[in-house]
Amino acid sequence: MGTKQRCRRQTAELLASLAVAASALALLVAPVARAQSPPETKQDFVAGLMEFAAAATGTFGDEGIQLLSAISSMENGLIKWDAQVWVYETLIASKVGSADQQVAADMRTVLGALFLERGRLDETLREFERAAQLDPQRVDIRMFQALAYATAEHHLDAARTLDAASQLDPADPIKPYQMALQLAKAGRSQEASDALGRVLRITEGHEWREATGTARRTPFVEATLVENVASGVIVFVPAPYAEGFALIRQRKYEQALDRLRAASAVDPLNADPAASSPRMAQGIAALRQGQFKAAIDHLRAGVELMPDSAEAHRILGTAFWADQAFDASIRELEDAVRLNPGDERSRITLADVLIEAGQAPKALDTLRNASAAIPQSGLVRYRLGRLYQSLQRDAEALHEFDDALRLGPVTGVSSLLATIGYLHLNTMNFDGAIEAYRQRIEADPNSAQAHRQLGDAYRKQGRHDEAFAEFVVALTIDPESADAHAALGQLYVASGRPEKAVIALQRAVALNPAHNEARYALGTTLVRLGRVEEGQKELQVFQQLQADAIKKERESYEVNLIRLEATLRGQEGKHAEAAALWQKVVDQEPNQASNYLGLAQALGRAERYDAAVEAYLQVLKREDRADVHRQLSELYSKLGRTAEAESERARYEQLREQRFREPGDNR
Amino acid sequence: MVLLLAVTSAAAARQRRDSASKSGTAEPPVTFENIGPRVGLDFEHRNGASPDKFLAETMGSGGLFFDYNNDNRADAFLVDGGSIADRQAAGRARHRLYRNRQDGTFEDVTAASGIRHREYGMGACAADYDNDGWTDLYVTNFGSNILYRNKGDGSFADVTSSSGVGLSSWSTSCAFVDIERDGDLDLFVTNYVDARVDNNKFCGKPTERIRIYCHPLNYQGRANVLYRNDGKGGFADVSADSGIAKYKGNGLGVAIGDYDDDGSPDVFVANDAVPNFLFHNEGNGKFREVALLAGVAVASDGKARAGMGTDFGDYDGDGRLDLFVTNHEFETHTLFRNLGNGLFADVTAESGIGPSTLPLVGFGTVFFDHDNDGALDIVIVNGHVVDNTAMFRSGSTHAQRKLLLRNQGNRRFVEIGALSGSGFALQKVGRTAVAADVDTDGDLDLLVTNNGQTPDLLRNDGGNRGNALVVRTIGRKSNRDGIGTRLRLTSGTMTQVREVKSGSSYLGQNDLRPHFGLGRVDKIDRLELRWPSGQMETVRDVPVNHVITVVEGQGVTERTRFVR
Repeated sequence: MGTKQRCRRQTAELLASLAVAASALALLVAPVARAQSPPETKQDFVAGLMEFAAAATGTFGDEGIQLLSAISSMENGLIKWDAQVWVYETLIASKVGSADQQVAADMRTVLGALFLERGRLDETLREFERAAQLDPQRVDIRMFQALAYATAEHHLDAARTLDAASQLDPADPIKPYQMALQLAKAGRSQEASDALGRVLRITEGHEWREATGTARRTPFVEATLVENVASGVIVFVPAPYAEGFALIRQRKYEQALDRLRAASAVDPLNADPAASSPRMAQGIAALRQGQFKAAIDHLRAGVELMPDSAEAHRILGTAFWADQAFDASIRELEDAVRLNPGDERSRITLADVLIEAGQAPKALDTLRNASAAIPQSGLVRYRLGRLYQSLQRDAEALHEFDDALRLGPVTGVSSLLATIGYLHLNTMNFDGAIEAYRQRIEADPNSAQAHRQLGDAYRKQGRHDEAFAEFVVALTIDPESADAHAALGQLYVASGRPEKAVIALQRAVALNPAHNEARYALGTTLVRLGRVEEGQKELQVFQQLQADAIKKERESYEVNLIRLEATLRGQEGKHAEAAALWQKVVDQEPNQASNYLGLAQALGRAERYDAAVEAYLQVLKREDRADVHRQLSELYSKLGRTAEAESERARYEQLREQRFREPGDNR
Repeated sequence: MVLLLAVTSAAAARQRRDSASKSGTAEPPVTFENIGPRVGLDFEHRNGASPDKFLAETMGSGGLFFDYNNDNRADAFLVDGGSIADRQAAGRARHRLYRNRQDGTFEDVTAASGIRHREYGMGACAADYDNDGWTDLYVTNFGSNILYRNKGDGSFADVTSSSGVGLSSWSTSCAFVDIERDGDLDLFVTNYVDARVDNNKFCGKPTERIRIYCHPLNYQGRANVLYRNDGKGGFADVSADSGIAKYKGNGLGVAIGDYDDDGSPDVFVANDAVPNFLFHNEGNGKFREVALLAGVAVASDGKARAGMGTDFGDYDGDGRLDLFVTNHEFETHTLFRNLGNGLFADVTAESGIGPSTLPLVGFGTVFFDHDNDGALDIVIVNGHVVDNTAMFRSGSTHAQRKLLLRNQGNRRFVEIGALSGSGFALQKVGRTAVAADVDTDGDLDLLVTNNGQTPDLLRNDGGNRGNALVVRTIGRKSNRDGIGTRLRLTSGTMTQVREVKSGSSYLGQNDLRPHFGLGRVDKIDRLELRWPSGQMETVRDVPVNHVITVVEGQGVTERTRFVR
């Protein structure tokens, strides 16, 4: 695109955005309007950013063009964003002088929020300060202002502002809670503790349902560029892009784009000869359509043409992997690593293939070598951590996850911190768990689960006041959480307030009648209060629930023993015995796909093919798994049922191809 | 009133510590040194660990302190395991009886004692069941249990067959207790699970051929057994009549105590992975299982824990027996505070013991006043059940450290194991822990057994900087050992309660003679005894720093000054 053309397009977009902005502003200045959040201005930039992150995984090898296109989208998005900010700025400047004080405060708030997102912190603070002066009674302005101070790491100012907001809204526990966090960050631990005390005092006599209703809320104002992805998918970009993404997190967008542009120019997705090879392109197209054999033929030809192209070997290795030809895949990927040791994509794919081929120790070596060769790769660290975790080497997993966190995922920080917290608990480092969960709350303050986890960790440490505050916040976000009500009830019991405990625990069992902990605590608390009959009734229900749970647990142990026995018989080559044992497992746990798979495989090995087919079909009724389609396809072939074999093969290829498209840790 | 008492007792203990530290004269910590190897405890436990991973291999074995030769000194008995997989190896196992020579050393008198290893050994308890003045011995086994009658000449006779207590099951802990308060001791035996040799199961990872010891829920639990003493040397199994047999659990530890102070001893059983039992003695030979209502069946989260060892003790000085139970890692051990009215509260979190106990697999435990300050502390020995646990969980170890929970006097504990000397620094596969003042110097020493390893005799150094009193009870109308006697010692504002008890901890038993730490108190106002017969007796002018003997109805008959 030429410069003139680009300018024309930008002008048109600017005009369009002006129209949008004007209508938004019209709404904004209406006397009843209140600025809760700034109008969206960043979408195009963010869409480009996400497009870039997805393309950067480079699974298929043809994503180079998408990288360049995503950078272009971000550039244009940034221009549009700036233009929209400018429009608001100009319009507000022209109207704010004549607006009444409340409307003027709204305008300043909107402008401040826009500046905040755009990374113009000084102007942000200025606008919020002016807004607060114009309308000192507005709590929401104080909250935005506090957010800005916190973003600028002016923690004492943030705490002071939250204090002011809390004075204006004394019934809200969130404000003193946030104030405590800011004071703690400023090193004012005693004042932080006092602020937590305010949370406790505010919630004396608090009835959650009446106070908050039943709907989930998001009481924390956030200023994140990319929202926390609900599914928790953890996405990293390759190491050469890490610096660019770090700059984005610092809201230094122009510099970030410069870095991303420079890195994408030398990315093998663009720079390797394979990127411009028509033969490779044909192979990649076939791979994308799930036609693995055809893809391999084309890609093999490509490799012959470019034997020194690491990318050609990597993509061929990927195609072999897709076709579950693991040995061939490993050979090609090892060649790719040899030819370009600095490319983490080949190393990570090699590890993935080794894991799927059942060679976890080799995969571990591969990732360790990758980590040494490319120390700045968050993705390598993350994958290494996951592998350690799967091998139950939690301490090593933790080390890698900590490094991965430091190197910065694009999305999924909250999920990663949840995992880190869990692993700390699992390795009995409770301070570590608390720290991870605290960081998680910073990254994802509106997650009720995050507050509950931190509350639980505090409870385990006997830090009851802090635990109490976390559960209060969790319930402010999600008043329908039986777990949080139960925990609060337990804290009341522990602090000698049984009457309040009863109310909280009754709420918990009302929300979840099978909540054992709440039921038990309720029963014992009622008995202690002298309400023996009521307490005994609750304990009877508890006893039944508990007996059921123990029975279930015993059954689960029993089934597991049979499963182990079946596996042992299979290993000994006694497939008929193994099949009989698997049948027992299936009879006891008929809903689990994996049990049917065990049965199907044992029947297959025992040469009871028709029965095996039935068992495979039962697996697929419960879980649509690629590997099962492949196994069934092979079985059909043995039975001479060619059409069914082909159909299963097609489904297998389709599912395999889909899997490569999945982002982050789902892959 | 009771509450006030608790507060003043606790405050008194706290005040003593505070004044010591404020005056800048803070005393050095009490330390424990393992003197076992150099004083003659040359035992090494055989667990017979085999590739078959028979569950019993990892659960034992126990030991106890008892005065078998009536010299008013604590002798030691150690139970050996053996081998389930290898008969020859089993034949090499030997229980050991060690006589306390009174010079700080022990003599192996097993050969002369006639005590033989017959089955894979688990635990033991000891008491004078026939009231002949000599303490007898009961050994529980993975197999048939054995009762040894003390002949009074240093030897024992196997009277299992004639006494009718040769239960063949998998018994674990045991305790002698006078259930009906008729003057002779009955016997309570906990039973674990149905993990017979022909019912051994494969647990672990078959693909990697890694085998581990199975979780107890892979097996069916067993009912406990209560034998009633007929007073003629025989016992009758009254488990069904008494109401005990109705309840099947995975019984490991047992603690006897009159938790509701109604005069009749009650029985608490720590069950592994299923709810605990609290058998309330109805006073008519019947028991009512009340653990759930009382609040000790499960922890405060409503979950059953892996109950192992247990003990009753009044840690907060309110005159009521509280209860402690050791559990598996990631569960925390559980402290139940006795609230009165037959109710307990799980105060694990409030007491501050949660974090230190969370990473460990606890077994033996004793409420004991390690520093003679008048407040009961808690010792816990730990060691994993799964010998190859490190393969399954990072940071988890088979051998584990011991914990010493120091009572701070405000219903809170602080873990001071790391400050408590080389004995507490040892990392071993701990099983039982029992206490006695083996050197009669006025502070409590500890005997710790370790699975597949040598035991530890932890000598208390510095605990006797505070004053103390040890009381031996001799019943006349009551059973001769005075088991079940409740002692209440009062001095100024301080009141302490103890009971003479058999059993407790895990597979073991403490010295029968209660120990009272007295701090700087040099005058005891009174010692009240409520004998199992119901007779109340108050003795005054009790000297501190003595072992005294109180004979039922006759007051103090003997005083022996501590050796310091």
